[in-house]
Amino acid sequence: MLKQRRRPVRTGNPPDLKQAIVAALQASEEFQTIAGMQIFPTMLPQTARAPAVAYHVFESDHTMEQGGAAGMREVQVEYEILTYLVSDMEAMCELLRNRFQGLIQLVSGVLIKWVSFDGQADQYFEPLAGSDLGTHYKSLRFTYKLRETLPTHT
Amino acid sequence: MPVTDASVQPGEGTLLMVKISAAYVKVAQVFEVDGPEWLVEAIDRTALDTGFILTRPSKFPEPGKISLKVWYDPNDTNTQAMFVTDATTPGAVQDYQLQVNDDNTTHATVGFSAFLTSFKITGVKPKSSNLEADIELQCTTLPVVTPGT
Repeated sequence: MLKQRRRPVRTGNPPDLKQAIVAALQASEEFQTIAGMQIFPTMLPQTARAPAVAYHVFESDHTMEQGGAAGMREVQVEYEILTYLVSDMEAMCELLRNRFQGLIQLVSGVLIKWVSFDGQADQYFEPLAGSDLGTHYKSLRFTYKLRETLPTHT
Repeated sequence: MPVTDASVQPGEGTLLMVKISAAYVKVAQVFEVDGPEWLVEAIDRTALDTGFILTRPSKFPEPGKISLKVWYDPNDTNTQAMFVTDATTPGAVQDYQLQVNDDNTTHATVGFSAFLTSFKITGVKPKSSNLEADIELQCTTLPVVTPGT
């Protein structure tokens, strides 16, 4: 008879930056007006309707000292924005910059110590046959600096 | 002198320790250490007939400097007591040890005494930086290597 493995019981998950990002954006009325609930982790799915935003962590650096972890983490996040209208694109970019650039705040349990806006890149996709609506695509990069717990090695 | 095989020891996890009340404790938040060093001066002994610049080793070896960088937290009272106080009211000589991250139960150490010559706060900039302190110490004893057991 197969023995069922018991999952280890976790007493509490540490606050997550991705959850904090989603919470911060969904709390914005302007974001809700433009993109509604269209915020996706990692990548924009094929079924995403513009305007939509995807976010993904592409690099993470954990500060160390000679004795071990130092309790600070730097996370680079890329946002991908998809819109049909230029005005929506500009509004979303300004919304993200306004919400995050230079932020020092506790957001959904994550103590953010600094956010820098590192850059952006534009692309435009021509309309498909039978359509007169092209697609505007922009990627924005931010670096989040946040406190993290020290490992207990247990 | 034959060169024997030696293990490679990681720089990671090698700790700078300071003696406080007869016991060595880890200096907090150190992320880079350069030193200690042993210096031997080259003494000139060129004569008119040597044909080239000739030197000899000094009979007096010299303890050099040690520089270190720490993630600086002004809220940490130990850093304050150890370094900032020594910079503000100079004169204290402390005992230090570099404790090597080797495989021994009692780690190998490099011990020396030193006084503070510089404490400088750096890292204040708006991108990819933490508050740091650059610290320089002048050794007052030749470093002593004690193998581990």
